[in-house]
Amino acid sequence: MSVTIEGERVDQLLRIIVAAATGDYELRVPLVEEDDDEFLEVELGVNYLLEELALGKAKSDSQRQQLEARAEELAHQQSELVEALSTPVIAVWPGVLALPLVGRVDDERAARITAVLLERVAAERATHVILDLTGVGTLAGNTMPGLLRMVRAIGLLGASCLLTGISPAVAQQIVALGEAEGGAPVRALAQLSDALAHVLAQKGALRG
Amino acid sequence: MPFRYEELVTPNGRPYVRVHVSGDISLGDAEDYVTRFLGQYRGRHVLSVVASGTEYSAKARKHLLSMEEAGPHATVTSSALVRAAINLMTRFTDNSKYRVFGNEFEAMAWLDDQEG
Repeated sequence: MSVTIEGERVDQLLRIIVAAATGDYELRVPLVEEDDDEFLEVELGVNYLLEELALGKAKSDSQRQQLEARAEELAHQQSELVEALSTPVIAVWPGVLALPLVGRVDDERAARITAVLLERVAAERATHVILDLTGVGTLAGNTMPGLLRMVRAIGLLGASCLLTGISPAVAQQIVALGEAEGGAPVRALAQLSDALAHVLAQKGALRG
Repeated sequence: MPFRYEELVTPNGRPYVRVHVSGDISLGDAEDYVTRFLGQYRGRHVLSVVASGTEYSAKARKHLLSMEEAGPHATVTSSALVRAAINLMTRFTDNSKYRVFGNEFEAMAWLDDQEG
């Protein structure tokens, strides 16, 4: 098969192929009825290919947008869940709140815990707060002062704060900071159950 | 409607379906076409007369390729663009069942010559 093609048609086709190679699928080869030869099929075939590429790109863009929206929604849900789990304030007895902390506590989390806890203390007129540090692996450098300030703030609201589950390393941090911060009094007990028994005894709620 | 169907008989007495095709063919049109030729017109010989300026959408083109079970198709068109489009669509199918003609007389003669 031998076909003579005008140079202009070949140039036009090549320009469109090059544009498509750079991601532009919107151009089309101009088709003319009078160009009744085998090359017309090639030109039309290129247009069909471009249509397919444009459809594929539109589909891919739409799927990417859906995935991004879903990822954003999941991130929001995760953020809400983490926030809820990071400050699990439990009313273990009327007027007694317990906050078992788990994981790493950094400044941001300490600030959030303080805000939530103080709000609950005020709302429930709590007399005691048990802060259990058994599950705390690490306290970031500036976090302990933040927690000690929270203990003092709880005191200002008229409630007593008890710390339980303190590790030897955290104990040393508290002692060092206690001196620096002007000796904030901290009542500590070994376990959460000890603190609860202590509080209930104070309230006269235990029998026998 | 881009497709208009007529049930006719060839000069040799063979029943066939004549389809007048024009305008823009959508996926819905193609689905209707395929349903007819794989259903009520299965195996029937087809003479389709395609007007100049007829355009097949990308989805319609793909759907029309699922016509392998259909009978012989003779297409008549005076348009080089329509001929190129049909040649592209039938390039990877059983070519012996599809043929494009420039006039209806030749198309009908070929169609009448095909096995039933």
